[in-house]
Amino acid sequence: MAADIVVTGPDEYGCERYKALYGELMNDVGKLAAIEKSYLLLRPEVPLFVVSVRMKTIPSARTIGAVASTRSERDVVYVSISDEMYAPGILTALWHRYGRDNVQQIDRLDISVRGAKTSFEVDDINVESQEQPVKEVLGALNRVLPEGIRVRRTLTGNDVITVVATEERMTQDMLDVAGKVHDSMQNGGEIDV
Amino acid sequence: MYEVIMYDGGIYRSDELFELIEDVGGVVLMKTRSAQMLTVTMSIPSEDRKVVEALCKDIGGQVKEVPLAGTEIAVVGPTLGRHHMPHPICDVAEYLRRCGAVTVVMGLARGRGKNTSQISLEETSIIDEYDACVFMLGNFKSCVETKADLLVRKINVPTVLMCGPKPEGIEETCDAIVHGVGRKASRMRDSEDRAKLEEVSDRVEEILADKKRSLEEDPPFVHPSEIKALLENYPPIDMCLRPAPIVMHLDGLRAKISYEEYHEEIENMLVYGRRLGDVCVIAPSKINDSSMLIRIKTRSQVAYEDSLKAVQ
Repeated sequence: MAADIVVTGPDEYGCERYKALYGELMNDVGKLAAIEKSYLLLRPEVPLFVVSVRMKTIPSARTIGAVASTRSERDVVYVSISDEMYAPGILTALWHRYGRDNVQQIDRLDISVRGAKTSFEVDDINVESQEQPVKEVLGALNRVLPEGIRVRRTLTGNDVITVVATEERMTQDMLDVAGKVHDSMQNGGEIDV
Repeated sequence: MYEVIMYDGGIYRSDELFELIEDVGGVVLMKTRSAQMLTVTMSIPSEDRKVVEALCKDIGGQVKEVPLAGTEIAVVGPTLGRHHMPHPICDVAEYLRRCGAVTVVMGLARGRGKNTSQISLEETSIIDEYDACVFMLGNFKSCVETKADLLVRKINVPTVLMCGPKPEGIEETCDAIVHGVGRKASRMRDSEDRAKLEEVSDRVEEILADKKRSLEEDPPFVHPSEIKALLENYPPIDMCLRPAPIVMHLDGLRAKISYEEYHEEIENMLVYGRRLGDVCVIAPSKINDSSMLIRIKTRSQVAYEDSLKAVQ
């Protein structure tokens, strides 16, 4: 489970259920372990929903070297994937660089590559951009927020992502509340909105 | 007095069961075969129940009570989006099917949101084709109360509202409320959830019992199962590949064949020496042309129409 999930709002029952729902959905998309703190402000009577998450680390680009171990034997580089989540991405990146004929998936987590000069060359290939984890978290937050609350703004900065959502017109007051939540999450201070 | 029970077992020696149902004067309401497994919902005379049960056990099957047999129920969510489907709407639909009902899951086109959600006349007309409706809403009290007023109030068939918190002031918008189940992202597996599903089924049973009581005051001219027996051998229905080509309602049936193509032939069929078109109102379904609704007129309605014809 995430280290900390705080849910506030006037609807006690709704807040309690949304806390469980948030945990389930984040767990489903595999992002719960990457989140340090989550704050959900739920005011369905307005309606105003603010969800802010602080990641454990600042998202960065991932290379094959970070998620797999490589070794070179004669003219073949063997890739042994240690994080299965990246397996499809690694395969796609290798196909793109060396062509399908030169890349063979030996079994679920092992790939052989012909045509690479050294294993370092394979290590440096990007499998996930810096934006990808942020996109995935935003996708998960869109699943958490109610479907009809369609007017949304996103605030991002370093390791904090905040989404504010309402049903019709986004007012400055709503953005101010979201800004306060975002700043407090970034500074690690107490949230008082 | 007839009783509705369900056989759940293998296909082995099932022909003996069908023969026995025919011998005791019963009717097969629904038959579903999946590989070597078979479920048969049947209506049989009470005095012959023991004989039928004994045969069911003898051929290796089980007999289950099906309080909702012979009904078609719509389970409706605000939209078909992943925020509202599939949990717990599909769990409710599945549970009602186990109780013998034929269920249909549907979502509204513009049911999302709090103040902007709406239900169209076409949608209410489609829901009104069913015997009852289970409407599912979410976790926030203010949203549930607003949306019940906007959406559920317009439905004319008996409705059970399912929602998370206990709403206030919307009792007149529906016939029963089951609270404690809102938006969920997982299946309803634990004992608390199963108890809620049972509660929904009980509430549906109660509201349908009320509807049955009001129908008994002036009953349909013929029982829907008699028209079902008549239509079963009609070639377009016999050859229809849809899972349940005829679905029984409390006051009629849904026949899943084209209205445009076949309504005249069906209207000219005879039941108790009368044209089906004279004792039923046959109309196309609001969903599309692929099915038609047969609503059986009440005895007093038929008698009144007879008296008018006699005057002419």
